Amino acid sequence: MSTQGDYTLVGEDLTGFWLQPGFVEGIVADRQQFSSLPKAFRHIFRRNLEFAVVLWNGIPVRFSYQQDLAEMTVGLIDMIGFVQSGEEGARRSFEFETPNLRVCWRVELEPEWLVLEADWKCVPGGYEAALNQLGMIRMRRDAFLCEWKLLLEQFAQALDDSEATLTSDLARSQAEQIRQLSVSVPKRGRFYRCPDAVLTTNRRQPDTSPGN
Amino acid sequence: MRAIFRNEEESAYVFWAQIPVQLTYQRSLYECIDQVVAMAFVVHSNEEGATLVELQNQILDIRWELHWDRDELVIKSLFSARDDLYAPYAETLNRHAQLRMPRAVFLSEWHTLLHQIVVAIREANIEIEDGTERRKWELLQRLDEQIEGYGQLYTRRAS
Repeated sequence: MSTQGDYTLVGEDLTGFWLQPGFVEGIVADRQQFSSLPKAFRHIFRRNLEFAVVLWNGIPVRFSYQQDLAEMTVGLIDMIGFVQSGEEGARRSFEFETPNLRVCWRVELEPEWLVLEADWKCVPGGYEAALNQLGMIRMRRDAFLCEWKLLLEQFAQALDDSEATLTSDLARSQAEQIRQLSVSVPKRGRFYRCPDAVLTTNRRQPDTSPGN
Repeated sequence: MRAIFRNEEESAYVFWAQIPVQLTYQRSLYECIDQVVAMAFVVHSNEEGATLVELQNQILDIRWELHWDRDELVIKSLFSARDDLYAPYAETLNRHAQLRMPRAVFLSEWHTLLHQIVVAIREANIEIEDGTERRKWELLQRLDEQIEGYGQLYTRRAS
């Protein structure tokens, strides 16, 4: 255990931001129309059971696809785009508020690295203080982007599989950004590098429930 | 298990009062699998009883005292941080020092994990040479066959 500058090093395997998306299931090709991406994903992911889990300096935080990630989509697109294209020295804050959690992530860009400082205000289970004690992460920009690739792929695949129609120009543009980001990030995250590993994938299901 | 699972792969998570606790397959479960199988066996096989389970991951030591009587199971827990930096995390977990749940629900939650391990070992097509370890493997397979249902994140309720 040691410190490097302002960044607490809690161990090579623990320091950093790592994302384990959940298993996406129950997508129904019901061809609904939506005026925004959050509305679309709240509907599309309504049958999903597993959570996505972020490991924040070794402490896990869960994100529901329907309740949390759906609400966060637009902010995440914005943040990932900023990390991908922002200039050295640029700083921005990203506020996320969902039915289950509230967090502000402040991102500062260096040429190849980023500093991510979080103010966790509310998480399920109430362990914000534990997360804020380890509230700063410095990692490579490309590694951070890779952590999001599989989730972006899931978002894009889910939109396709649901055969949803986005009725606003803004929502269509954001959906296109998801597709572009998922393709332009070169590799998946830390847990998804082995070619023969079991991967979290989308599974499309025929809709057999009554009323659909 | 060390041979089958890799260090940098997805982990299993226990949700304790909504708080996720990481169990990596290659490290945590490699070290704790005997305890997990023994726990599942005694809880499944006895209508009433008590047992002590000690699990660990990279940041926590976890001690569970299980008491059960027919359908009801009580877990008294103690989470200890392995480093002061994680003390607030352990303290929050310890605010929920006791959980009560139906015994069958507890077993079905662990069944999901046991089944995953059984499938992984079968797919790896390995041969277990040690006799004691072979008996553990047989017990693990028997538990997988006998415990009913899977965890709530893996069971779609009728809508």
